[in-house]
This record gives sequence, structure tokens and C-alpha cells, in this order.
Amino acid sequence: MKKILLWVGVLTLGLGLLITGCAQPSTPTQTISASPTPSATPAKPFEGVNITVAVGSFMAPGVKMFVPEWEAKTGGKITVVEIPFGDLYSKLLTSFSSGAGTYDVAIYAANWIPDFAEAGYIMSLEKYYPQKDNWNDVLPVMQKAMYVKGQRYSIPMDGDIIFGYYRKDALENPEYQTKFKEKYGYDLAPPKTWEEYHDIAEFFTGWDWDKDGKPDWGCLEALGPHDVGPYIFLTRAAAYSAYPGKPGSFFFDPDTMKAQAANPGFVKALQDWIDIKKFGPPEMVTYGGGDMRGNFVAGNFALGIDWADVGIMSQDPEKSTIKGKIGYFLAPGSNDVYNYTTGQWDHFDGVQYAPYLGWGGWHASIASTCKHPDAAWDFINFIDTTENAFKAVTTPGTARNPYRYSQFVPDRWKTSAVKYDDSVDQYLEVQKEGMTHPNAQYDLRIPKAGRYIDALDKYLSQAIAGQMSPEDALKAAAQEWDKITQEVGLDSQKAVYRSNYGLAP
Amino acid sequence: MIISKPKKTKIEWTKHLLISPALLFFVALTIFPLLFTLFLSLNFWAVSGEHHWIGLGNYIKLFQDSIFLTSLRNEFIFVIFGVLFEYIFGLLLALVLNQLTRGLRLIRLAVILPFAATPAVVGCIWKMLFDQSYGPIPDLLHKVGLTSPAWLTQPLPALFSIIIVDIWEWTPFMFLIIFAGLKSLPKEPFESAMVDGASSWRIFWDLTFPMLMPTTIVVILLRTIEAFKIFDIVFLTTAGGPGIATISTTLYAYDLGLRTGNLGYAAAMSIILLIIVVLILNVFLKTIEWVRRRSVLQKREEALK
Repeated sequence: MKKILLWVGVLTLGLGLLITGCAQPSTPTQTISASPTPSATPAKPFEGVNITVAVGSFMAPGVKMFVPEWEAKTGGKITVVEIPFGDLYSKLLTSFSSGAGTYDVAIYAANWIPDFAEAGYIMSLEKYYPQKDNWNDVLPVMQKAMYVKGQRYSIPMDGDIIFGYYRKDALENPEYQTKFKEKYGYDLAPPKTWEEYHDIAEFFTGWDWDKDGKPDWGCLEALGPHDVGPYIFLTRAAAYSAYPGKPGSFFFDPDTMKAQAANPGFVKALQDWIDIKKFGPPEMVTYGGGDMRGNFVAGNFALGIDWADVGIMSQDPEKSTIKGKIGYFLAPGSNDVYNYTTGQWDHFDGVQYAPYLGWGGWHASIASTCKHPDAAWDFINFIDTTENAFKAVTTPGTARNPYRYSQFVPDRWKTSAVKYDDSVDQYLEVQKEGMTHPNAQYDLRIPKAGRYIDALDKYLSQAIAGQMSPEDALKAAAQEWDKITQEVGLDSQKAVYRSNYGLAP
Repeated sequence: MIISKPKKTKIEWTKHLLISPALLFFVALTIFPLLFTLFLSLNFWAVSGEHHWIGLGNYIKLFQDSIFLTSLRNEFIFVIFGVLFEYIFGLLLALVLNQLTRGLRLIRLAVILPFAATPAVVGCIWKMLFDQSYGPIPDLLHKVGLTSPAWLTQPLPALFSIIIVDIWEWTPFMFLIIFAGLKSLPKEPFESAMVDGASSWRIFWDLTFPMLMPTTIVVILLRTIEAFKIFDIVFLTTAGGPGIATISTTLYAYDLGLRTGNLGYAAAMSIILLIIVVLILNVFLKTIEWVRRRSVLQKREEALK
């Protein structure tokens, strides 16, 4: 009897496990319901539809601020998945390549669009674009970043350019100007070259120029690893390596796809970058973008290099002590630029600028696995309406910077919810000048762009720590770049790279 | 004489079937991932799914990878210094608290609080504590006239910063287990020793420490295995920097596997680390066993004399 009962128990347990194993798993992050039941007059178009949006941490507030309104309007539900900035590329790549369909919408760097589009991870949005009534308002340089083989794969959310910030109470102080001229032999003004930047940072380091009772620093930049460091470095490298009139000369030799990361221009940029360590706090070598921004607006730094976020954050009275004290300058250039074709430095009488559109701007794409592309499009289009886009770019902490002509009107900023001070004229002018500059440099926009940047990051941090010389570090980075190119396919990478710069295949 | 044949043991299928779900679970969650990791390590396997067999290629490349070798060096530094000081402090705390009769519950709670804190919080707090510009530790050192090292921004101080944080977080773990061990020791030998007039040191060295040996072995074993997996503190305080000065093997594997997408290479790293840990633990256990046997033999010889 006992044995019979035992067998019954075993069979029941086994059946139970079998039933559980065969049951459909429910995935809380992807509870995509069936299509809305058609009714005679549906009250809300996307009732019951759930869209999962993956976004890098910096940009998440710029998405979340619009979720309640869209949900109320459409009946849909948005689940925002915030991914740490440094992990965004790998997380998206893992999700896309596994076919898991974890995310319906991805908001990421424009320079990854070719990568994801070529691999079929994101869908072309050409069929939706006729619905868009504000396309022509987008700056041409931002428009161009979205095309892959003539098709648009994203909606722009943000315009990215890295430029400089300076403290007016430092650089425009007559007493400091006199002392600077005595020491360096030229007028103190926002730096036009990286040498001038170095001099100004040196001059303002170690004494209390803002009269707050504590010694201050000359500059602040994000030198930390696994964050925005490589983009800040490339801002310098562009000045020395992006030869004017030679499109595509910055990252690779466009004829051979040989990595340029170890050329003398890059080496000089890295040496410059290491030299400025002494003009900032010791922790600067660990600072990411968020640390840099939070500390810069808290005061104590004469110069800074960042995207437009610092300018917006400086207006926030809760975080900033420098509202009204901040000025802006185009990322410094150089009178000497390395010519990769001759292997020589060429001298120019005028300063050669190469404004760097680092990161390329946040863009929103719809995953190929998305089951509700219409709803997904509706949401990303919603956060890019002219009105919403302006609201986002003028709100501190959204990581969305101007990218539409309509956003470059200073008076609109002065009357926005965050009342910008008069410096907004210069703020917008510098960005527009950079984005429309004839030698403006796009970020690297070829497949596996994220891997190239990660490889550069790995060796930059070792050079900054003094564990490798700049030459050795960049040589190792260039070798790794060449390896990645070979792995992905030299011919295919070259074709994409050349097409990005309008060069014949 | 009749020698009866040994009875054939009946296989009791019902018992096997009843434990089979648990066994399957164990195989699925432990054995299969281990075997798959081993398989991954013998392939070039990208996160995109692209893969091909390369045999020992990843392992050969690993031993030529200076960052991997640096990470192994750092692992040994973290484990040796971390476990050693955690044991010493844990033992001292346990001995001290064992003498207390009042307020024990509250003090014990305070002592184990660091262990109860989330590792992410621990990392962030200590990063702020060590901050040269705003952190209270450098500020305190300046106030007493000392120069504060660059805790997180110079290679050697950064290594020791990680060890300090690790000791702060894991000493309570050591303390808990040693304290439990102390409480379980019989009282009679100690009472006899005190009656005989033995000093505190003699009582500790001749009675407490040897009797705590089984507990010591367990706690050092457990902590060593865990210490080799150090990740969260390094990730949050230094991110392996400055440069690669504090990078751990687990962090490097994470970087290569999940950020760069080279899963095969990261898997090879994990297997190497596993082999190292198993070897070290075997050597440790054999050494303990050898010491124990020698001690028994010595006592027998003394008894015979």
C-alpha cells in the first residue's frame, strides 16, 4: 500500500513539473498584450500596448518627462529601462543579437546607427517619415547622421557637440588679465588653441580667484574610464588630426583603413590631456561625465570641456553656483595639423578648428523585433514634436541638446520654464557654429563603433595613470582597432567609412 | 562453511525519482553552466552569436595578456592581505566580545552592520570617503597634520584602498563565524587552566586557538573563495583604475565578455581563475591536514616518553 502511495506521489509530482515546464513564461518586462480589440470607436489608439524603451542613464529623464502625457493620450504603457552609460552599447548589442526582443525602442548614440542598421537590428523608419511635419527643422548635420544607404533608421533627440566653458569672473577680471599678460605675453581670453587652454588652466590653478576662501582649479574634464573620457580626448585629437579639406582623415586612412589612433596628432593630444591633470583635482582621473558636470557647476574651475549639458545645468539654482558667470567657446583648434598623407605636420597661419560631434546625439530607433512598431513610432515621434523637443533641450538633466533650427532662438530660452540668462546667446551661437563648421567631425560611425571606442578607452586610462607612455598606449589602441577592422571585414568597414564622408567607394 | 552471497541491493527507484527534480535543478544551474563555460573558452564566441572553434587559443592569448596577468597579481594581493587582516580583526573582535556580559546584542549588531550593507552602497560610500577634495578621510588626516595619500588616483594607495574597504565589509563575516565557534567551545578546559594559573596568552595559544582550528579552516576557506570573486568594490570605487592598477580578474572578464562581447576569452579567464582557486584550496587543506597529523604524532611521542 505504501509503495502504491509513493508511486502516486511521484507521478503527481512529475506531472506537476511537466505542466509547469510547458506553461508559457510570463516576462514582466515585456508584457506585450494582444493587439487592441477593434471596436466601433476606440477611445485610445494604443490601449493595452506596452512598449519597452531602453535608454542610456544620462538621457532617461529626457524620456521619462513625456511618458505620463503620452500614456494618457494613447492608452499605451511605456516601460523605461535605464542602462548605465558605459554599458549601453554592450547591453543593446547583446539584446539585439540574441533576438530576445527585450527592447522595443532603443535610444542610443547616432554613431551606432550604421552598426545596428547593417546588422538588421533596427527597422527603417522611411514609411513613417511622411507623417513627420518637422523634419526640415533638424540641422542638416544631424539629418545626415541618420541615413544608412539612403534610409532613415532613427528619430533625432539631441544634437551633440563638445565645446568649452569658461568662468567670466576669472577670464574677464581686469586684474587677472593684467597678470596673465605679464606672465604669458598675450591677452587673456577664451582659448583658441589647446596651448592657450593649457596656459589659462595653469594660471588659474592653486589660488582663490573666485574669492570663496578656498584655492581653485584651472580646469575640469572627465578623464575617468568606462565613461565619456574617450570622447573628451577625441575633442583634442580632432584639432591635431582632422586635416581640413581631407574628409575621413581623422579616425582611419580612408584609402587603406589603417587606424590613425597612433599618429603624432593623437599622441600630442594625449600628451596634452595628461599634462592638464595637474590643473584639476586629483579625482579628475576618475570623473565621468556626470561627476564633471556636477562639480563644474558647483564652482571652483576656470575652464571645462563637455557637451552642452553643463550650460543647461548651470542655470539650475539647486545645483549651480555659477549662473550668470559662465561663458562658452568653440573647442580649441591648432595652428599645426598632422597630415596623414605626407606624414608631416603642416603649419597654418590661422587656427584650424575641428569641432567634434562626439557621440553624435541621442537617437531613437525601433527594434526589428518590436511587435507594435506603430505605437513605438508614435511615442518616439511624440518626444520629438517641436514643442516637446524644445521643452527637453531647455530642461536641465535631460542630456538633450539643441538640434533643430527652432531651438537656436535665444529669446525662446530666456522665456522658457527655466529662465536662461543672457549668456544663452553665446551658448547657442557656439554650438551652431560648431555644428555648421566646414571641418566639423562626426563621431566614428561604422559597425562595432562601440568596440573601437572601448579599446581606445582601455589604453587611454593606462596612459593617464602613467602605466604606459602615450605613444605605447595609442600604438596598442591602433593595433586593436586594426584587429577589429580585420575581424569585421576590412572591405565592408571601408565602404561604410568612406560613404559616411561622401567619398567614392 | 557456507559463505552466503552478498545480497543484491535492490535499486530503490522511487527514492531516486523523488530526488531527481532537485538533481536536475542542480545539473541545470551548476554543472551545465560550468561545462558550457568550458566549451565557450575553447571557441571564439562573440556576443552577436558568431563563433568558431579555436581550441586553446584563448588560453595561450591569456598568458600573453599583460592586463590579465596584472589582474591575477591584484587578485592575490586582495586575497592574501584581505583574508589575513579580516581573520585577525575578526578573531580579535570575537575574543573581546566574548568577554562582555553587557550590551553584547547592541555591539554585535553594530559590528555586523558593514556586512549587512549592500555592496553597491559600500562602494559608493567609500568612494566619497576617500575623495581628495571633499572626503572626510583626507580632511581628517590634514587636520591632524598628516598628508593624505591619493587614495583612489595613485596605483599603490588605490590597491590598499580596495583592501581597506574589503576588510571593513567582510571582517564582520569572520567575526560572526569565529564568535559562534568560540561560544561552542567547552568551558571545562578553560576553567581548569585558570585554576592552574595559566596566563591569558597561554590560554589563548594552548587552548582557544587550537580548539578554534576547525572554525578557522572553514572561515578562511569560505572567505578565500569569495575574495577571489571580488568585483563590486573594485567596480564602484576605482573601476579597476587608475589605469589597470586595481583591476581584478572578474572585472576584466566582465569588461571583455559583456562590454566588448568577447565571451570565449572571458570564459577562458573564468576557467583559469576557477583552476587557481581549486588548486589553492587543495594546497591549503592538504597543508592543514599535514600540520594536524604532525601535531598528533608529536603528542603521541610525548605521551610515550
